[in-house]
Amino acid sequence: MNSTNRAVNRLFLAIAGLVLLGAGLLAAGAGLVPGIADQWTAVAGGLLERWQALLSTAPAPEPLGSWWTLALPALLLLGAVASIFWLTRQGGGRTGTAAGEQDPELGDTAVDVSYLAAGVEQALKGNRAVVGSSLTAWRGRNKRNESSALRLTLQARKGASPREVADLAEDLVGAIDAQLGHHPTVLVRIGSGTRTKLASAHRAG
Amino acid sequence: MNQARITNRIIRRETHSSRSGLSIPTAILVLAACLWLGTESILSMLGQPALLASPGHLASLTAEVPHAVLPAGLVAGGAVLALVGAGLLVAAVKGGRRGRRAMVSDRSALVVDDEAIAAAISRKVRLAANLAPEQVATTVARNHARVSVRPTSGITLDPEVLTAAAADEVAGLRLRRALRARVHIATEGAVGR
Repeated sequence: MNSTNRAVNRLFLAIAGLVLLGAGLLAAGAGLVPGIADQWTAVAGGLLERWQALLSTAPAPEPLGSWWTLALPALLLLGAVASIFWLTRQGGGRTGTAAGEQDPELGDTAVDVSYLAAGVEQALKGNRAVVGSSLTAWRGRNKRNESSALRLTLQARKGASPREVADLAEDLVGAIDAQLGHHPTVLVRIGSGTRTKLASAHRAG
Repeated sequence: MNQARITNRIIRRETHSSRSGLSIPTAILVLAACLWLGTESILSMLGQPALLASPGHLASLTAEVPHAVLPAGLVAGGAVLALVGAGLLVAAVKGGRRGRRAMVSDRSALVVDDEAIAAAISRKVRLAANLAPEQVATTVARNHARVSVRPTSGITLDPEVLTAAAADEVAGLRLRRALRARVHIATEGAVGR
């Protein structure tokens, strides 16, 4: 539900994978076939000579020597910026406001998600099927849409029927709808995490 | 976007990996390499001594690698690099399904962990056959749930009853995609139950 750009993740991972795979295969090939090793040295030597020739085509005042020497740090800077961009695309989008309304006359209203979370916790008190709950709010993908999306996680007791927990969740979502006065996007996750493992199992009652 | 599409999208994101666990270390490594090489190139441009090796020195080293390193070392190093690269490529292409699935709901995007489904099926089968918790184990795979039952020694279990119990529990869940339940009864029984 966070705003990770998954397409970017896959694209960048594919590029990194291809580069590593290519380099690895080339190195292994050079170790196995002497011809590839000789080719490698020849091609690399040729490239270095081409680079030297390129340097003299755009002479620049000392200590630079050539404008082309700037290309390498520029390229690496670009790589660094791209990886920082990639890192900043991970996660994010969580917000503390479950819903908001702006009215020119009445002023702005915001409902904090902790208020709703406390209500959910209270409603689940003493429930046998659920051992833990959390409610978080996430910014909607639609920029114009002011309301957040909600994520309700219920930790089911070991052996509890997920449908029973799901029906409970639907009731909770209905109560949240009634409190907010609109129908936000809701993700309900019925989980079995650490709380489930630590709590006693659901016994035949 | 209408609500149904938003719901499908959220379910898809919740049941599949975002690949950020792999992206973060990869991005950090690329960033470190870029920053180091960038620093080296600027230092050599300014005529300052290199941190580890100047770009020109690195380039000629790279050109000489096949003759400077033992072939066995080259093959081993290359194989490791290629394996890591293939791993990244597979991660980029494969679906990355997590152990969760969607349930039918009119109102929300409803996702349930496979573990929770397995525990519920185990409990239902256990109650139907009057067994102890350790005698039933369920694993949920992509499109089927496998229930392994170890009967109490000397007591025959009716596989049909157990399969019906498991199927009943699965049907009650109302999953978006069907899940078949298969019951396997071990030939060796548990003693002293």
